[in-house]
Amino acid sequence: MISEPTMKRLLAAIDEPKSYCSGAKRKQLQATFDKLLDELSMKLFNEPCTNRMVFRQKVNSQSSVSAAVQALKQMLKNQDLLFSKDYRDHADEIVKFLTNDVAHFLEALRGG
Amino acid sequence: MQFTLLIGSFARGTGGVGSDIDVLRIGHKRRVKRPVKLDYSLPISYVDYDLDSFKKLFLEGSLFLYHAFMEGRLLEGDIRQWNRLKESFVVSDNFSDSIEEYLQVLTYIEEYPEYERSSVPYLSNIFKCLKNIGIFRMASMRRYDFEKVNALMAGCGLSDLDAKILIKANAVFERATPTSPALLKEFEYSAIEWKERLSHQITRMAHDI
Repeated sequence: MISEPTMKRLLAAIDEPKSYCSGAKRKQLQATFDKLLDELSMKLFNEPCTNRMVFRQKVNSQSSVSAAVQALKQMLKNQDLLFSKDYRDHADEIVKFLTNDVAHFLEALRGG
Repeated sequence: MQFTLLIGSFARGTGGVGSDIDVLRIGHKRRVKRPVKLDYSLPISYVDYDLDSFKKLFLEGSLFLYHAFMEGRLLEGDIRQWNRLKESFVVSDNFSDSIEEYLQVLTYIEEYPEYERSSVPYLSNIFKCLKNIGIFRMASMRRYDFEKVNALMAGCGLSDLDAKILIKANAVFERATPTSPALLKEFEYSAIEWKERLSHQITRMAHDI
């Protein structure tokens, strides 16, 4: 469901979440997350992801009770933590997003 | 000390149906009365600074603050206090670290296998990097211009057509502006073209730092 380069990049971020909280690495993580959504959209709906919010609406309309879809819904619910424009320290929120939401989604995807 | 400012295209008088209403909140996060009487579907996009961040950026001579001082329209807050801050603000003349940061992101995207196949997010992320690089490059030459078209064309040397496609893709991705199969096809072609020349674009801009 997820390409190897995307999986590799997300796992690297989960491994070292604090370094992805600001600067270039945070923007790289945002780009990776956007790529992830497009890959998921192609897999789930056979169409590209043209917008994060629209994608979330489509996922939320899914009645599937699979662990992966539930974890995806939870991750998308909190995706704003990664894209917030507040100029303050986001470290705790991004670490939480990576280690809870993204990590749980990847685990659910792998059937963990 | 609390301020609320209208910034961005509506503050410059160039905003339209494809624009966000950009509001800068300094020292607070209260809801703000809609500052622009236009279509109510236009999203308000907030940028928030707590006071510590504001002070830090003020002392650093942040280009974004310069933008707020020059173009922002004060909606809430003490105008005399704001004007005193504006008069004492000195904008930095060295933006190489900021340009370098965005070049690192562009390089990351360039080296990401098959990112171009996700054409809308690919173009949107390239847009964000190039727009900011363009703004910083122009500011390095004391040209303070925050219009995205100028940032892409004058700041990064893109053609009018390339600039328009990147702007359209970003509007679709970030604001869900309407799209069509023909437009998505256009994005796909553009993404393939960018894949072929992004590396060259990065090298050229890195050389200029």
